[in-house]
Amino acid sequence: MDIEAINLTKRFGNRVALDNVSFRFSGPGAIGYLGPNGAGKTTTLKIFSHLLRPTYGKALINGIDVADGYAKALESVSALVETPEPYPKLSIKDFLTLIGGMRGLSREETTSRIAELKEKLSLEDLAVQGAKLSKGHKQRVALAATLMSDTDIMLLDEPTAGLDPAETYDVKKIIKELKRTRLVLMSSHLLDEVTELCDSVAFINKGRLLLTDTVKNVTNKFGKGKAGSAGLEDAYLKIIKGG
Amino acid sequence: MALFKNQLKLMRAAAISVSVLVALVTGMMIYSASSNLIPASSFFSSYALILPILVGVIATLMCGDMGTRDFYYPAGLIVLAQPVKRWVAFMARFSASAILAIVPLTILFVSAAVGSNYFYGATMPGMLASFAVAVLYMLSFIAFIAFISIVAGEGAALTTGILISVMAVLFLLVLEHFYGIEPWFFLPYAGMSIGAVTSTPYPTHFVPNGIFPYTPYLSEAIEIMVGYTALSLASAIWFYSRREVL
Ligand SMILES: Nc1ncnc2c1ncn2[C@@H]1O[C@H](COP(=O)(O)OP(=O)(O)O)[C@@H](O)[C@H]1O
Ligand SMILES: [Mg+2]
Repeated sequence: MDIEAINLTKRFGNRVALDNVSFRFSGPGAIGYLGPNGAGKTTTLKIFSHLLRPTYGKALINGIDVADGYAKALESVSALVETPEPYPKLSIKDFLTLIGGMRGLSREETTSRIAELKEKLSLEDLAVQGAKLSKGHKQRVALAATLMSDTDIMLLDEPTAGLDPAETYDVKKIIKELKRTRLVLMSSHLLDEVTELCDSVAFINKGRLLLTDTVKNVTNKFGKGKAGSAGLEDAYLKIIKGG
Repeated sequence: MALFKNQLKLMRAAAISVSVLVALVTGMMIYSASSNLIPASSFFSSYALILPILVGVIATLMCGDMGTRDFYYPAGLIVLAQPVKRWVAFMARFSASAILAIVPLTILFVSAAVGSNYFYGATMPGMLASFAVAVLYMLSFIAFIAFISIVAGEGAALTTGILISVMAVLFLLVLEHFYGIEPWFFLPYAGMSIGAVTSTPYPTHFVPNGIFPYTPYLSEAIEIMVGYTALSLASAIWFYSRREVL
């Protein structure tokens, strides 16, 4: 299980969102993708989930170029990018069933997986239509859709943004469980969350990848010896602000 | 397959409301025909005249949101990141919409048959042939609307579809009558054959002094509709496959 970016570049008109980004991560484990707003995190994850096409360069998933064989490549990827929502007129159950079907699950597998996720993510009433859900609830349904199948690679874009503390706790618990057996690449700008969940970090700013290393090495090197998220905070400020 | 079922579900409400609308329109037509005691032949011909318009409107209402379904709703961020080829996804949605759109069309024809039998004791001649042509016309219209919807969005698709179907008669009048050209490139021209097949013999292709001088040959109409379907589907799939979720 690995994902690799080779000279990945994405331009929107003449705005450069990603500038020659190269990395390679192998799992299992969790990687925190860190950077300020507008750094290019979402753009990277969208290219890996075939929602955007790169202007230049390659995005490889287990060696398969997403641009060439996305249907094959995406079989091993589940992505939660930006803030997706279920269809307004479709019940939660119907939406998750659709995703199960698109993932090639049997009807029984789909049903049991939905029951399991309902428990894990406190989804409450599955018959409610998408339009009637609260923001946090929509996000939990979107996460449930992402967890419908057991893929090797999980791409999570700020997975806890907009969630209340209890919801955040649930999601963190799920990520901790996932990263034991899978490769999780999660973008975030919550440093304590990254410290808690991730083994490695990648820093990106203005479309350029600045550094990738283990959390430990980064805090040792840039964190003035401070442990935990305080160390990572110092590191973040130094690396992003070019100190 | 999952997407096919999903599309059926998403469009169930639309299908029901369009069917009810169609039933109302036909009911009113039959009622006014019976109360004014229009002769049977003119009932048939007025029915055949209004059919292409109704088919166009039904197709537009059913498929105008084809392009927005995945690309504008935030659900697309999940749905389009699934390991399913884009053309497969598009065809699943398209075929489900087409099948659902044929439901109100069938209601239209069945009620015409029942109504005309009841009031005139005769069914519209060439009714089955007319239904077959109408289905093909529906298919080509849906494909065309889906294409517009994917390229230019729901608003453009709704406007184009309604405009083309409602104003078809006017466009045809201008093109045929005033410019004297055979509008083989204009989809509703092919739609004229829905009515044409109900008259025996089949209308002459060119009548120099008619209001609408040209009537498409049946084979020509079929070619136009098949052509529109093929071209629209191919371009719709091309755009659907390359479209990014910004
Ligand atoms: N659809 C778009 N059109 C134009 N510019 C965009 C679009 N999406 C993103 N960008 C630009 O690309 C850059 C990176 O954005 P993004 O990947 O969303 O950043 P992040 O997720 O790290 O906050 C930003 O400068 C943003 O303005
Ligand atoms: Mg972002």
